[in-house]
Amino acid sequence: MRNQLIEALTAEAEGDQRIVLLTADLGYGVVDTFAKRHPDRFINVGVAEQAMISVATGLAKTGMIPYCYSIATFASLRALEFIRNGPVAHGLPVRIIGVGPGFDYENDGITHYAIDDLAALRSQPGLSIWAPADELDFAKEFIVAHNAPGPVYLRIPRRPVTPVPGVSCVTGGIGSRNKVLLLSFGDARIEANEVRQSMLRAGVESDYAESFWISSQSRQEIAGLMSDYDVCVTVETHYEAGGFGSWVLETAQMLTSPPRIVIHGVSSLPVGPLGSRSWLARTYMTDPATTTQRVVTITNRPS
Amino acid sequence: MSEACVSDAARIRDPRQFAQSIRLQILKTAFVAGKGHLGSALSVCEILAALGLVANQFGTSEEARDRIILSKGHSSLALYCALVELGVHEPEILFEYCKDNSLLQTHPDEKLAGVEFSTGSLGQGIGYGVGVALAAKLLNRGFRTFVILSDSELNEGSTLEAAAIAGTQSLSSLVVVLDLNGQQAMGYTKDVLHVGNPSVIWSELGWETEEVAGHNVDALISALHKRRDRQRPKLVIAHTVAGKGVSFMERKIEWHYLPMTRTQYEMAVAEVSTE
Repeated sequence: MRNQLIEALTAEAEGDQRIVLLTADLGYGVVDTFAKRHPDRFINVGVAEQAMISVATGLAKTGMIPYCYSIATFASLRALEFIRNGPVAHGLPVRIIGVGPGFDYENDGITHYAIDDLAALRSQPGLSIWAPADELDFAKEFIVAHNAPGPVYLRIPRRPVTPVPGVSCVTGGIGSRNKVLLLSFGDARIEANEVRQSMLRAGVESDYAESFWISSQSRQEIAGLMSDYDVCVTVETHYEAGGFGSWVLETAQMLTSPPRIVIHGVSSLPVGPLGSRSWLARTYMTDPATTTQRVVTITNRPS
Repeated sequence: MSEACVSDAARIRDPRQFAQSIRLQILKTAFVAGKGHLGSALSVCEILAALGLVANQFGTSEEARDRIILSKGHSSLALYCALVELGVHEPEILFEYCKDNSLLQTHPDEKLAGVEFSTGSLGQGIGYGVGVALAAKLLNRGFRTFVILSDSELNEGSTLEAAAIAGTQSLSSLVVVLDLNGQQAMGYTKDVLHVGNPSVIWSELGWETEEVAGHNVDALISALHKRRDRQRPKLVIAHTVAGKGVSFMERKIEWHYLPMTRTQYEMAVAEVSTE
């Protein structure tokens, strides 16, 4: 995914002299394609995420389109006030590349887990969040992110998370088969499928959909999609507080008959014993059975 | 006011009179509003006067203009008064200071003509300046970028991050003027935090540095023009006095916060007028 992003950026920069790639000293072996092809427009600012964003703000104000590369936690949380006062306050097209959503940097510990980046950034007016899960998602919408008028946070997995075989998505407007909509955000496909399987074991069938954006436009799309359902279960590689599920919950308020929202995500502080991405998800995210029980309780309640 | 008028206004001014006019406007505006970070605003009058005379097309939206970025946003009142003195805005605009539905507040907003960036959180404006100067280099544009920095911003790690980037990238079109008045919000900088000698530190980071008397407009103009090294960014360390020109405000921490009584205002205006 990282390589695909840099390759796309390198190609786009051939015809667009405004593109600059900044890195806060990360992307070893990843950013080389761009650096070799456009050496004048590749700048390693050092381990200086705050200044990377303020420098990008100055670049964007002067007509450039800067991409700022780092690990997701550092790009978003370390530099948050600079993002707020810089590209957000000035409405500038700064692109912030945050690599490694959720537990992607599995053995590296809490300092590297992007499980609260959405909460921080989605509060910022005019800033769009794009979280493609695999190469196909990326190829489909990279140009949309690139051309967005305001700041964009690109939440990029280190490795692609491909769709679960046999699970197809509903896109809305086709009439729902079930009362429950299961809605996965970004790279949460595997975790969403575990919730789906758990609900099936409890006799709850669900329609499945995926979202890769948190933006004003996608809010309208999500509102339209979930208006057909009684329950919407959101799944994300992020704390249950403040992330995609909370955004969906807020979006539901736009509807006259909103569905009940059940949020599935990281539910406890991931410190102490650590392990692989899947072990971390099993250990620190809500148990799918617990989420299933919440759904069952809602669906069995007399209306 | 037309672009031509702005340039003419800047050219005809006597540098010292220009600074004095800014200082008097600051006092009047702060008194009427009952607000204003007076100490730091009075500290930068000569710096703004010098920049008003040195910078090309200051206050315009011309692509080729030199950019002036007030990183120490809490001195915005001084910037507004300088823009009025330059003819960018009519003097009446100062009556809007701190009023409802006004762009003139205690920190600058980029939507006001003559303001390049909204600032107020310390240690961020210099990064904007580095980015602008980097864009000028990449786009092969001839304009210069001037950043006005407070010595309290030397507390911020992000200031040194930005300074190191500028030095590494050899951003020779960037000039930072450090308003070294020795004070910050809670005390004198020497008592609050040891940040070392900026001349030594910034030289190590790849900057040309020069120290000047920060209330001598001629010396400032000379320092802004003079370049020993055309490959490096320049730091002009302006030794200033917070509250400059008003004896009972000079070097007093409390004048970062206090409004003036009528008696204090009249005393302040009398002192500045007879300078």
